Amino acid sequence: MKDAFLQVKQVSKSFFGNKVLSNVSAELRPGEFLALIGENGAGKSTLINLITGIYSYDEGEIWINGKLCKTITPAEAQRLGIYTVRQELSINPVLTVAQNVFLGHEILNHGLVNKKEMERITRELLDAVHLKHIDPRQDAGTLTMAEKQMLEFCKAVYQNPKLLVLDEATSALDDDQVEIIFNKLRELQKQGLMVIFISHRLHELYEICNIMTVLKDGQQIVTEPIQSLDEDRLISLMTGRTIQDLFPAKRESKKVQSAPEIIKIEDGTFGKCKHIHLAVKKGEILGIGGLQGQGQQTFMECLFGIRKLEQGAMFLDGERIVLRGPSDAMARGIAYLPAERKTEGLFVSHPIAFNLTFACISRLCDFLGTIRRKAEKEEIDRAFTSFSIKAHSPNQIISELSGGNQQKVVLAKWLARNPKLLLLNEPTRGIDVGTKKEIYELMAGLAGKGVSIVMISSDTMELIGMCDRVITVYENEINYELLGNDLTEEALVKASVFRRDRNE
Amino acid sequence: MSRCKEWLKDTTNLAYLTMILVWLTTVITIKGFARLGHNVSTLQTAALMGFAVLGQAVVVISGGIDMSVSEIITLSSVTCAACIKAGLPTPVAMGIALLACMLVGAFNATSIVFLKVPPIIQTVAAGCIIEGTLLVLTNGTPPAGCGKLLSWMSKGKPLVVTNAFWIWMAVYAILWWMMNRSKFGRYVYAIGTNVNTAKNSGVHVTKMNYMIYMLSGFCAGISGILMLGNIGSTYLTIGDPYQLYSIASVVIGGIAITGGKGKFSGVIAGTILTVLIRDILNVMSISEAFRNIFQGLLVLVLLLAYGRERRAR
Amino acid sequence: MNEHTKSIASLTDRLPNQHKKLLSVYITFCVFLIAELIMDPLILKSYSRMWPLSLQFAPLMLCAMSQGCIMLVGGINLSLGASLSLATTIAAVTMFEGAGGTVGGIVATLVSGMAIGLVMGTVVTFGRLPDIIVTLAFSYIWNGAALLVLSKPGGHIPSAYSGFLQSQGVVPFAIIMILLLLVFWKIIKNTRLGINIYAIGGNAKASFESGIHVRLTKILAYIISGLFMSGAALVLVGQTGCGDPTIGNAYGTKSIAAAILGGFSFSGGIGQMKGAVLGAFIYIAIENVLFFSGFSSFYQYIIQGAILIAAIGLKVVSYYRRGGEGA
Repeated sequence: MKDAFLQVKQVSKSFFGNKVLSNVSAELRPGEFLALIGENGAGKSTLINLITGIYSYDEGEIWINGKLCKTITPAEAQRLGIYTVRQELSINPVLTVAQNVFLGHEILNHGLVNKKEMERITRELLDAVHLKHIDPRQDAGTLTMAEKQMLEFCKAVYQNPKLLVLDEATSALDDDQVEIIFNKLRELQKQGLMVIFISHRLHELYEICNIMTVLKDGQQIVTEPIQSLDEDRLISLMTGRTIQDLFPAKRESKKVQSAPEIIKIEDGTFGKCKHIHLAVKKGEILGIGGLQGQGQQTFMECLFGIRKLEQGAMFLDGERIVLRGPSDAMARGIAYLPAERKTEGLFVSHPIAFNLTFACISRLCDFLGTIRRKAEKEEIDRAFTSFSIKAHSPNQIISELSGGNQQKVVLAKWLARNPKLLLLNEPTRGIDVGTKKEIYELMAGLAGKGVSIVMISSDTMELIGMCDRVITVYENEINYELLGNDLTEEALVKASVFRRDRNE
Repeated sequence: MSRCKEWLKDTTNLAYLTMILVWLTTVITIKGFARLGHNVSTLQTAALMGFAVLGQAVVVISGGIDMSVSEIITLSSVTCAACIKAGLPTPVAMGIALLACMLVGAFNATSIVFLKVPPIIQTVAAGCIIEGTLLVLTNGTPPAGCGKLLSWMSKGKPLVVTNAFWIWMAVYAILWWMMNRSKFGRYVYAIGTNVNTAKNSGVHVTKMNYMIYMLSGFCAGISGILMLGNIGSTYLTIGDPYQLYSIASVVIGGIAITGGKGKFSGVIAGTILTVLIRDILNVMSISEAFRNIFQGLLVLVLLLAYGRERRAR
Repeated sequence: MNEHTKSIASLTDRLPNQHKKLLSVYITFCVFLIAELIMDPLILKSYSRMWPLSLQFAPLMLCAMSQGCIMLVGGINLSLGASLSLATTIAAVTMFEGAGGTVGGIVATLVSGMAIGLVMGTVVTFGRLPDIIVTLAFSYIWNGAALLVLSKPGGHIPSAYSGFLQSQGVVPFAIIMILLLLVFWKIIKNTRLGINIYAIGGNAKASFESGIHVRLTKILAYIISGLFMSGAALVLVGQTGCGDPTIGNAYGTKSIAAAILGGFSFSGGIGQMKGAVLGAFIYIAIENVLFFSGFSSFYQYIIQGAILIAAIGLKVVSYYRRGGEGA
């Protein structure tokens, strides 16, 4: 047996006292393809970031090519032969295809770039992945998403890597293109290439990988040859937790589902999502689940009027409406809490008070447009007590607060408008357990009062614990709908990772 | 002690403190600066350009910049003079001039919002167009026209200092209220801080841009009219120095050029300080060359100083 | 799609990529070239018309190249006019009679042009401030510095130099100079530096992650821009025979308009130097056409503003027409 190129020994990593990876080990020998699998937040990306030098680890050891690497930078990792292809693209739109492949590693000839040679090699690389129609001299900005993704792959392959990390690198590709890449990988496998592959498409992992590691909550559950892990066993390994007493008691499903519909999209087309049917009942908490980046966010943007409904119809309280923009949606009683708190939800350089009353400021103004300071103060005091925001004073700059308190401020900002439909995008991302519990109780209270809530979450337990009904989204389509007793962890994970058979 | 430090950290307080210190120094060291008459004329100069600074400050807080204030000042004084010469009553002439200035503001907003022209380019271009139009229409020599009423409004002194100063204070008071006590101000700061969040929170960014640039045009327009009243005639380069002066006053007043930060009240200190510095440079009979260099360096140094603070956060 | 458009499409497909991008600039250029020839048919009859014409066009062409260089890295240089004035005054005081004195002056001007770029580039990158406001402040500093060197038009330009610039050789010197600088840029573009300049304009973050030294690249772009600017100054002093502390004012806004006409974009990373040269030609030709049809010279300001807005606005409008997505 050959020596292992990569040895990960009992590695752990914490962020702010939160252990995201504990005692994970892995070994990779030339020619081995490792599949990493786990739910969102199981620690897959963290593990990859440790290997490629983006993060440093707290405990354990990582050996690369027989050398102990305590701290490495991404550049050093590349020198050791580790290259990554990610879902987020690094293609530079203004450079040509060839320049992109060689960016930072140009072939020089007396100080000048050897264009001909670079273009010739790029031609070969492109031909090898069946992109014959692409000219190495054309701007990379003119390529489609899939072509850019293939180009990223070419770029990495040209570096002649020993270990190639593919982090959801096939998500934009169709089956034929994936096959082309797999063929290339198999070819390189004979020369000893190793691959670590993360993909939300399980069948791809089964097709190309020979070993599989399952992660759950930062723990390594199992590492086995892939043949011994069939799909049923895999699901049971990935799941199997008990619901903590974090969540408030659930209501009876029948009662909730018999309530009238508050908002409905009929045969809606928006962005990449086509022919969507979606309805939310009064007082219902609807979860939108699925793997990350399957188009969940587009749903929210459509419901809040950020994105236009291109086709189909939207009904609010049975009345057909057209949302002209966020302010229109707000006027109709819809509120939206975005996922990116700092860049979309808050004015980070301003005081808490400024943020708290921003959405409801019109209500606090007199006929001249002056903000009634007493009314504003009352509003702020009320928010502080009812949300128990922990801060020195309302004049504190909001960026000084903890993530949990910031999130409470954003929630308070929206609830001050008394919305009838609340859209929450990752409401508990990056906040502590205590605040999470508070937010859950708040949500349950609102739903009890008849406020409808639509929630996107990548936390499976949260969806199960909070929602009356969950739909999962897979590649911009509604995949499954789960409610009542069907809403179990196992069912939800299955509904997220497998595409529903259309003939079913 | 720590409280004192805290107080000094506020760029607005710093601007007012510097203004007082600089003024005291000039009063003590430069002959003639202690006279009431001199101080009144300093305040008059500050007031005349101060209107334009008020508008510029609102634009800068919203994350934009208005390079056309200098030409808008010229436009309003020339329009007003022409209307008075044509025999229109002074208030009507002023109204027409201000309307013209607000039209320029609306033009700026239209290009910025719908054609996505960067504010700096749009306002520079608008400035060029105004300059050319005025040259074509007046053939290089603007009409002379200025009534007694206008002169009185600008330099009459029924209450110690000139009327222009009091009008400046009145406009400042209204704008202060708008920026600090009304919804409008909240929205301006919001757009300057984070357009995305502002849009997501229901701010009509298009509508706000129209209001902001028209307001800036309106304010610069008052400057132009009162400058006409002050000297009794006008010329086609009357507004030219105020392009940098208006921006410099805003920066000196402690408002961040990147938008969304700084107190509106800083504009008064910024404007007066700019005029004081200009006066000092005049008195020291420093050549135009050094004056330009000094002003440019001052703005640059202040930008760097405030910029550093921004990073520390 | 009918046969006709199809054949045009296949024709444009065969053009090399960089020419394809400039196609609209080429077409506009041809239109105005013809207009220019109709207005001034002497050009075809007498070759000697080339010399005064080249001197009319060259300074703006060089300024547009200088502006384009800054726009490639995602900035705008508002101090170009002032620094151009400064460079002419420096040329006027450093040039002396005789070959050595003239060459010395030329070198001094070019070096000071690059120094101007170095200073601004450094403040922009290390101060982490927006380029527009930094260059605006610098426009006053360079203005003052120009007045410091020469308080009024003056200085001494060797008559041999002026004569050389205007002498009727085989090809006008100004054109040779532009060609030389275009070749210089072509070489730069084929080095790592050139690719990096385009790369940081296109996507600064990803470039940084690819190991490109973003700050250094930006500063070097400013230095090259300064070099082009001082080239314009050298042509100007040869033309006027003196240094002038206000001569550059006319070129500030025009250079931005010419660069945009030549295909540069504010978002960075887009544009070619050839385009800047053609853009400057188009700009002056538009002015010439208007003056030829009897408009007074006062109209030049209106044209400046209108061209600026129209050139950017048309791009945005056509982008929407093509169904581009975005807020």
